[in-house]
Amino acid sequence: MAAGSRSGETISPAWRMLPSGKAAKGSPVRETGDDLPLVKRSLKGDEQAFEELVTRYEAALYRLAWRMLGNEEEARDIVQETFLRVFRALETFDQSRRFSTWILRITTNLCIDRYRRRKMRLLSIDVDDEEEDRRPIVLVDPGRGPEADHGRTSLAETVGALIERLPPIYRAILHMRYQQGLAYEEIAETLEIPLGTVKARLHRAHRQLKELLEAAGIGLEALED
Amino acid sequence: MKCEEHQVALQELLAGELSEERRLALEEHVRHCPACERDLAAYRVLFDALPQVPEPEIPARLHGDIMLALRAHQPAWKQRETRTQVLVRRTVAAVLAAAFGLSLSYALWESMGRIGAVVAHRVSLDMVSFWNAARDLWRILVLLGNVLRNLEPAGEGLAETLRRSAEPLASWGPLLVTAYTAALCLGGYLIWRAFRRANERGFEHAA
Repeated sequence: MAAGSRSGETISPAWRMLPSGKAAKGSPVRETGDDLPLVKRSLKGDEQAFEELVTRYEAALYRLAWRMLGNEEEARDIVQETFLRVFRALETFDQSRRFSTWILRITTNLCIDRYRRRKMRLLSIDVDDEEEDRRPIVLVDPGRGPEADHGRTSLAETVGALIERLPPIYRAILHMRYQQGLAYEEIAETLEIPLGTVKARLHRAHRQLKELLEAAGIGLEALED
Repeated sequence: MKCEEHQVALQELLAGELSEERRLALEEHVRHCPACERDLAAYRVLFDALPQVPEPEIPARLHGDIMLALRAHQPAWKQRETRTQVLVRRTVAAVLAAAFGLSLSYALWESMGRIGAVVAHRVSLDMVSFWNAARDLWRILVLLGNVLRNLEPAGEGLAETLRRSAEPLASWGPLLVTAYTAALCLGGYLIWRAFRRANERGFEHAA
């Protein structure tokens, strides 16, 4: 797994004091004010304009897809497929909406589809998000060995590994919240779920992660500092 | 051991999402509830770590691969020449033009000196030599064509013709030099253009 480059940063606890709008910064997704002119020029056949859109979003989409699917190869496929679809469907894009939301939605939907196909090949289980909301989170096997070798792995890395055990939709919400810095409303709009559902899932994800940390004895160690 | 009802509230407390009133009430509760105190601390640890979860490196070829895939599906986009390609093409064109221009100027300059009594005679002689040379050039091209089909026998004929053609070369006047240079430049240019066109067409069929 390619190690990230930002785990050395210290994020001040100040983010906690922010209202429920923004969370911490990560690989934030741009505001769409910039994007509309590029969309319009792309519709006229301007290749450079579309390439500029690709440049703006490829990193954020890749990180999201990687977070949801867990490997580089599939993440690349998804990002490529996303831009192909965006290009083909650009005429149908409602220009009064946010481009960033639209493109992120395409990526998350593709990831969820890919994940379902992968899972059905292995287990023939019907993965239904609504069903899952009524049960405790079913952990998934990331297919790797045990996570924390506490001596070598930082807490952040361990949390990252634990996130991979959550189903993809939870991973997406966490990533959007903490790495992309999206507000609840933006997440809700992107995933096309109600605001309340976003919050509920986020809380469940937090809770599950906390319990996994405690089970691994990690939280305790941090507490003892 | 856990305060179920407070799990969400504890998270909201840390995220600063509680009203003043609820916050105070919860903090009061936490003071008297060891389970909640423990959970709050655990959430705090988690919330500190979440923004720092490592992100993957972006693969170096990602952008290139995306654009490649897009172009394969979008033949309407012309493959843009890179700056280098434009520069090379223009440089070569400039060199060819300069070569042509220089040889032409030289030919004219030389010819000016002879536009006296002997101009008609010289011109006619030059014309004869020119036609001979042109015919040799034609032969060379034909032989080259044969070479492409069967190498060995033609190779000898080509060598022979080249040798024979080289002899009168020394006596050629500047007019012939000009003509030859022009022919070479034109030929080179046409080959270059054909190459570019083939490139574009092949590219479009890449899908």
